[in-house]
Amino acid sequence: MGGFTTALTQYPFLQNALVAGLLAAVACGLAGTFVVLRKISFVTGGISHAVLGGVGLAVFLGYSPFAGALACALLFTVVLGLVNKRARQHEDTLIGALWAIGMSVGILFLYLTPGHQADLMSYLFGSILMVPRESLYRLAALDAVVFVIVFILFRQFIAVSFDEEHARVRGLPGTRLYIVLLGVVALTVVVLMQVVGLILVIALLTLPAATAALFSRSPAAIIGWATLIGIVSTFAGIYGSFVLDIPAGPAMVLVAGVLYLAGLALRTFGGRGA
Amino acid sequence: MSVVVFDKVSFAYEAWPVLEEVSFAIDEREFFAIIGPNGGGKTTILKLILGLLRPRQGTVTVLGASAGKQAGRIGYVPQSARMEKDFPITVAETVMLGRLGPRSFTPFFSERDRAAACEAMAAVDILPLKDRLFDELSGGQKQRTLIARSLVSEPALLLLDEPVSSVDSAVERDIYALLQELNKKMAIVIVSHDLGFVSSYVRRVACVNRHLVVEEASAMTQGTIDGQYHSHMHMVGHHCGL
Repeated sequence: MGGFTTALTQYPFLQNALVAGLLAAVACGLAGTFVVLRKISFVTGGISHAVLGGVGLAVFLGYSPFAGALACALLFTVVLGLVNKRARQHEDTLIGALWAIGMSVGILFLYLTPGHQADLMSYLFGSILMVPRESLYRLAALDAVVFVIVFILFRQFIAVSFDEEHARVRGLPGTRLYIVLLGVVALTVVVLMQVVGLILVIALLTLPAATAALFSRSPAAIIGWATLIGIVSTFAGIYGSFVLDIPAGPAMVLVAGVLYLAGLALRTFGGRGA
Repeated sequence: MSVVVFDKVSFAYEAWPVLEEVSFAIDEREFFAIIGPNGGGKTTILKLILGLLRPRQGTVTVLGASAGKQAGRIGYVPQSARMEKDFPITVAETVMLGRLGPRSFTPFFSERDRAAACEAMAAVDILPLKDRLFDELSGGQKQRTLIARSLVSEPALLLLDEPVSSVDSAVERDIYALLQELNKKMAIVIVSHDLGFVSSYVRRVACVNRHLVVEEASAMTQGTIDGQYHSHMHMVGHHCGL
């Protein structure tokens, strides 16, 4: 531990990694809570994988992969939201199609872009130890947007997650709220893309919140605990990566997974808690 | 004055007709039941009143305006079995959700919301349960919580969808006694496939079977709950396929 602490004071890349992990954990706590409560893990998986299409296309055309990911995530958000409103019975099929097409388009365009084939692995599995300082500002800005949206619409998100029909009866705009919620998820996916990669995004978006939900008595408590579990998972993953020389992304997800399984066992043999 | 007016309303799910030229009216302070077999169209009528569905033909007028325009004045109690399982929300918070509107843009409920929720919970005898999780309640307690949620906005019209479908007969009686009490202050429309309940409590009944209202029972006054009335209700049920 002493070696890690010393390295932390000496190497900016480690400091950047911890800040990126912290920002990712906050986004996970906010968005992940409603992914779990609304039971939209599959939609989240679809968005996160389809985003690779935007990354590949942006790189091929000479634009920033970050901008490509953001544009693609928001585009799919609107498409999925409209399909949910007009043809809900086709939603699963469409998500599966976007999932596969996005991945294929991304891999194809990265393959066709000279000098970028090696980047594919970093997009798929993340590279938190290589996050530059300027990226942290972008991640912080996305976190701020996610926080403001959740703060403003917190009770409305709870209402549609608990009983969407009643929320509509009360005059809440169910479809628009769903699209905004998917937008929050999309922004979080872009934040997490650099931290754990697109393949493992769904794990960090669901595991901390699912663990917190096992013991929480309110959505606000889930957000708080999920953020804390996200921080523990990302920091432990970075530490494990540094000490054991293993990839950080999978290490973080493994920590989050072990915490979830331990929580599930505790809940099964214990109770929900106070 | 009528609180709900259906004027030659037709509705279909894609090519499947459910209601054809249905007309009826529900008066102020009326206790009105819609009965019929599963899939007969009774929940469709409820959703048309709520403005969640739009008629293909005809008009639905609720509290003097088009359906869906008076959301704040309608209390709605869905089937409790439809709620998300394991959702971490207390009874008090569930009730306060009935105060939400499209302009609720803060994460906190106000003191006024809390006071209204306490009043509604007291009205249905669940105030001692306010800090319990909704998911931990019995079927009857859940139903009372959802009734409190519908009352917290002080509605002029209360709609209930199969409110006793997941409770035993003792709780069923309690809930209907509560609804009769609430009926002194507001019109109540209840959807049910339970003819036994209908014959004992409501004043009028509309019977829906697949695509049309087949009959409305005559208005019932106190003291006429007798064999003759029951036989009439059973005739209605027979027409309705119950």
